[in-house]
Amino acid sequence: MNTHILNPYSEQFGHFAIARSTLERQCLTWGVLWRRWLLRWRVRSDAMIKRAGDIAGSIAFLIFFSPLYLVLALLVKLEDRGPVFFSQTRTGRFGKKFQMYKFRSMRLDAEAEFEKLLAQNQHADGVTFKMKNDPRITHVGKWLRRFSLDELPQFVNVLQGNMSLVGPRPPTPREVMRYTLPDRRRLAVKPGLTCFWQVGGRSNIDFTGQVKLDVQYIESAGFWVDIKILLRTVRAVVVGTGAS
Amino acid sequence: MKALLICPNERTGVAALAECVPLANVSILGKTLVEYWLEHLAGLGAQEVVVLAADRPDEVRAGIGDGARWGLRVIVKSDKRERTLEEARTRHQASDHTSWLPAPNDVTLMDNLPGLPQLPLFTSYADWFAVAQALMPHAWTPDRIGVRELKPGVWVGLNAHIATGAELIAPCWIGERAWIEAGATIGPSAVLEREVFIARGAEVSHSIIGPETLVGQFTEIRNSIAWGSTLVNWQRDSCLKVPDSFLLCSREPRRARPVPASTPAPVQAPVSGTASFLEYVSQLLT
Repeated sequence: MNTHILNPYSEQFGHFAIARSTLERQCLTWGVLWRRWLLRWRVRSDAMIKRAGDIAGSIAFLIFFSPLYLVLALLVKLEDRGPVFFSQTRTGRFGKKFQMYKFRSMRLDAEAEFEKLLAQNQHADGVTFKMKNDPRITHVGKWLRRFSLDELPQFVNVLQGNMSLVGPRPPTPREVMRYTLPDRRRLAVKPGLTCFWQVGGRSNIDFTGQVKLDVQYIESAGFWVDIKILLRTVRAVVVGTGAS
Repeated sequence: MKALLICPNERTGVAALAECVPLANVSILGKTLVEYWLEHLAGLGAQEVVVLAADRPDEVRAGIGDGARWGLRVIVKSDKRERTLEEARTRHQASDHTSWLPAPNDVTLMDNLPGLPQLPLFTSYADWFAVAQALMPHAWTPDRIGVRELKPGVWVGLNAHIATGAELIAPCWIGERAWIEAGATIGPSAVLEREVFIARGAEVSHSIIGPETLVGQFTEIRNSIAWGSTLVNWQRDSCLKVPDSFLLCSREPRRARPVPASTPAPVQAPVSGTASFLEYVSQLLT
């Protein structure tokens, strides 16, 4: 698009882009179209690439590991004859609620017992809930959680479009009700299977640390950051750090 | 706790701003007016907000969603005309006995920004510009993602691309995903909204560039509000459509709504033979 020529009167009038022939005029016009295309691509490409990666990645994973899914489903079923999957309402992008799927790792009456256990919450700020040796967890569930295998059905959520492979973990509506306005920043992107703090210290980080890391992710997000996080997640799952 | 927001309907002082989107959805430093107010009300402890919109209520609704972003339940109701505070109180509040926010915040006509009650937004273009200037130092709130202060008085949004040869003069605000080519000069007192493209050699000072606007090579914009191909001089209140898309145009030209018949027609810039030819070509191509 090198069609501009500096005006000899630039001292007086400033600079102009001058087209002196039909071809140069065409070039100026095409320049505008090119800039429009560049901007459109810039705005949409990130989301498009991420969504394409989500679909391709989750389909590949689901097909490749389908035997593993069958074995795990059988184990959960055999232990106490309850349902295999457990779905929970979580908060997605911009506070939209959706059903998140997991392999069931707790006893059938777990939700009822939850209120009693709230007093023993390990996270001091009270926004999130976590405790060691939760009595509601089944034996199979303990092993599922140890290697984060209970999270595997969430690839279906990724395929549905409610979640993404990489992104902040989806909070429960109960947690979101306690969020302050700056905390809500982590709802600005689609929630995901893994993010910075799962890769780093996992459950051992407090809530303000989580929000800080999530915002750090949103600010640095890009294709290669996602790839890096995914690879480090694989390592963290295989080694099994922090999930207990 | 409940609250009510009234969208401004028609403001003849700033008719060009309402050309593409309703006034409640006009973006100022990266957020729309109704978003600023909803955030403010959420901070005051509101749980349910009713938004009365007379001008293009569907677009207002699309911009807000159901309010879950702020942890609110938001209902956008279309209205025949803009209600005064008293009318809105009698029509909506008197019959509704749920708890409302205490007095000045229960019903709000969005004619200014929260926290800047002394500055009217819509009386004239100069006022709109003045509000943007007044807001700039305070706009970097902790709930914004990715805003950085490059040097004192220069704020840059998430994923903005600034070429090394570009000159930024404080104070200026550069929105999300803006693209600034080398040799461009931004500032002082310049506000670029999201997804603005500044081509090389262009200069922007004492001006606001609206969202998704392309500023062409060597175009100088001073004392103006530019949005799409609309250019408004806020000092003289004059408005014109720039016919040459290589000077100033919108990223999505087809989305721009034609000027409604009630507003005075903008002054056409004098068009030379070359320019009209180019406009013809660009229409053919886009």
